This record gives sequence, C-alpha cells and structure tokens, in this order.
Amino acid sequence: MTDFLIINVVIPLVQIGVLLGILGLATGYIVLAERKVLAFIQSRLGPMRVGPHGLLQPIADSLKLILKEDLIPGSADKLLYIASPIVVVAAAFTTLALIPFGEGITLFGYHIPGVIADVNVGILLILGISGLTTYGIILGGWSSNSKYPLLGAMRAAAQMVSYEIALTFAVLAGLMMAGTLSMVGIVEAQLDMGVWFIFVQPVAWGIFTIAMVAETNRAPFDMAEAESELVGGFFTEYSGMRWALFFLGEYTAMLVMAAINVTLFWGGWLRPFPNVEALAFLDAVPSGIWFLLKVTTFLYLYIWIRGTFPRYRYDQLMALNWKSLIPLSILNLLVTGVVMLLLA
Amino acid sequence: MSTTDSSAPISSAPKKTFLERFLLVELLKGMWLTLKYTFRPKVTVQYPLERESVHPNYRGILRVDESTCIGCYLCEKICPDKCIHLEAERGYTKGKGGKYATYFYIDHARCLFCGLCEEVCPVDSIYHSNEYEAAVYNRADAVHDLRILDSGHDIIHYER
Repeated sequence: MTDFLIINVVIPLVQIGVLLGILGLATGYIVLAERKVLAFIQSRLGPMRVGPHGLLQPIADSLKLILKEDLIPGSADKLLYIASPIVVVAAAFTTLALIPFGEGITLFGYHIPGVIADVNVGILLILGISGLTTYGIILGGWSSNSKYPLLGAMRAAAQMVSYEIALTFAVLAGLMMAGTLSMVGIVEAQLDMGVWFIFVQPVAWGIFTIAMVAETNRAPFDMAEAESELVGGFFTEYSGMRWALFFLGEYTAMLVMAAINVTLFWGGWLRPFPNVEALAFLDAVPSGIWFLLKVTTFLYLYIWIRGTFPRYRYDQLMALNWKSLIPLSILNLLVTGVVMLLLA
Repeated sequence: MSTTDSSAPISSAPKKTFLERFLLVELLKGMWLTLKYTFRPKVTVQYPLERESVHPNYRGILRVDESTCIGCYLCEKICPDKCIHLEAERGYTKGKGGKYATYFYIDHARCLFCGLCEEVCPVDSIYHSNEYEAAVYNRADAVHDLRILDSGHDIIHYER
C-alpha cells in the first residue's frame, strides 16, 4: 500500500514541485539570456547593473512585477480577462509533464522516471494541449476590449492554427519512423535504430523548426505581439503579474517546443551517435545533461533567429506556410511512407 | 524624358536557384553574420563606472582664469544668451596692475556652449574646459561665481 502511494502520489508530486520550482527560475534566466544574446548581437552589453554581469536581473524583474499594481481596464470583460493568462500558463505547464527529461534515476530503492507522465499518446496530447494556448490568446485579446489586443489576437489565431498543420505533418513524419506516440517510446526507437531521426528526416526537422518558431509566436513570426505596429499585441492591456503569466506561458511553450524538437529529431536524452561503441565514454555524462544541453541549444537558436531576421509581413507569413511548408511536409510524408514501404 | 519600363523587375538581386531557396542559403548567411557579431568587442561604455575621454576641443563647462582676466567685458558683450555677468575695476591686486574682475558669474543653465566668449577673449582667460558633468539639484547651483570659475566646480563621481 505504501509502495503504491509512493510510486503514484509522492514521486509525481515531488517531480512536479521540482519542475515548477526550476521552471520559474529558468524562465527568468531565459529572459536574461535573451536580453544578453540580443545585446551581444548588437555589440551591446545588455543588463550589467544588478549583480555581476546582471545575473540577478531576473529576481529584480520578478520582484518588480509582483509589486506592480494589478490593473484591469474598465471596459474589459473581467472574468475572461482574468482567466486568459491562466489558460495560457496552465496549457504550457501541463505539456511539460509529458516531456521526458532523462532516463530516470533510482533513489531510496524507488525508480524515479525522467518523465512525470509517460502517456502512450504523449506527443498527441502535447500538441492538443498546447493548441489550447490559442484560446488563451484570443480570449486575452478579445476580453481586453481594445483595438490592438483584438488585432493581435486575430493574427495570432490565424497564424497558430495555420502553422499547427505544418507542425503536425512534420511531427507525423518523425512518428512514422518511431512507430509510437509515446515520448519515451520515440527516444527508445531512436536508440534501437542507432541513429537520431534528424539524419533520416532532415526536411521534417526543418519544417518543424520553422513551424515551432511560428507556433510559439516568436520573432520573426511575432505577428501577435508586433511591438512596432500593435503596441504589445494581445497583451497590450495587461500589466504586472498577469502580463508576467503570459510571458511565463510563452517561454514555457518555447521550452516545450524545443523539448519536442530534441525528443523527436535529436535523440532526446541519448548521447551523440548512440550506436558507436567508441563513444561509450560519453555515457558518463548523465542523460539529463545531454537533454538540457540540446534544449539549451534550441533556446539559443530561438534567440539567435530573433536577433537576425526582421518580422514577416502578414501575407508573407501565410504564404510561407500554405504555399511552402504544408505542401512540402505532405510531400515529405509521402516520400517517407513510400520509402518505408519499399524497405519493409 | 524617359519612361521606365513597367515590366522590368524592381529588384536587381540575382535570381536564386531552387536549391539556394530550399536550403535557405541567404538566411544562413544572415545568421552567420549575427553569430560573428556576437563575439565582437562591445561598444558600450558603462558610463558612471568608465568614461570616455573627450576631444581637447570639446566645449564643456566654462572656466575663467582669475589671474589673467583684464576685465574687458568683451565676453559679456558677445554672449548671445547674456549668461556672463562681470564687474571690473581699476587697481592693484595680487601684484598685478590694470583692470581686474571684482565680480564674475556665469549662468550655465543659460549657456549654449557656442564658444564665442572663448574666441573673443584677448588674454585667453575664459575658456571651455573638458568637464561635461554639470547637472545640479538646484537651479541656483548652475550659476558659477568667480571662485568656482577659477578653481572648477565640484563633481561628485559615482562610485560602486
């Protein structure tokens, strides 16, 4: 009985607690890293004043956000206005439970898996839940009862729904290789195959990477926020902690998308070239570290892309998706299927 | 007068091959550029802690060398902002004969740093220093009297 309780209640609760604790801090530091890297790209230094090289900036920022006045516009729909940041954050956090962070460890005689919930339809569930973010954004933009948020929300909705198609087709190509929907199963399939899926599905990876940037509303696809034209996009009217919740949701979504990318195409927690015996000494590095390293690389890529490309025009954005990415992903799916059929 | 051919392409960029477009070659070039800049030396000067030296010709806070001033009023007359005020009298002071300024003040809140006073001064007594930190808490503090003009105003430097 106690064993059942520990395995099914205590361990997941501890995992959730640790994950949320780390996440809160990590989000702050991703923001700091973003400001730093963008500054470096522009030959600036970025935040330098709070702590050595601005390392305590996230703490100062969050303190400021917590202490800020909570403002609700008079003409806003109060209930939806309050609910929408919660929807965004809840959707982002829920998907996090399905990401396998490592092989898992054995502690005090209990095996602690590297994932909170190893659902057999993991990736489907992630895509489904992260699709809910769109609701949070539309509700936030609409309930603010103001023009810029509404415009931002409309753009975001159209963009996210469109790019979800390309994203899902790209994921599907990887899933055909893995033969399973479970996130853990996908990594194990790559271990069995002895090669990361990036080497067999480079096109799908390219489509996924472009679509994931668009899906998380990041530059150069940040039509929903578009500071220079829409003030602040769908969260123009938000301030203080509610605004921070939107940000938390956005950065968690970035993290989750990077994690899916790593899991699906870059071998999740596997070391480089898992089939080459000569590199077995790399196993000394814990699997979680490999995973973190890969995810960090993708987070850097996000920031790097933001620092490099100007924002797409709205019609270009749609044209890129409907005229290039979706046909390409379908074609890729077709080729994958035919090749698999011939090889089988 | 010639009319432009409306059918001619607006962009003169070379046509890209399909492979170049498919592999996003131009985008990767852009990312390579930003990556190079990431590791270049930074141009930021962290002002209160480190400061750039200004050019010797920089027109900063006005200073007056009391010992050489001959009280000719030229600077007061030429000042377009009327920010220089002085009184001079004939006599002997500090072992020097002729006219000397008894009373001299410059309102830096009104000064436009044009340098005319510096140019017109026959004895190079009034000059622009290289000091640029002239912020004060009180408007009256921007008015420098002869003692401050001669010895320089106090600058409270920021320290960590």
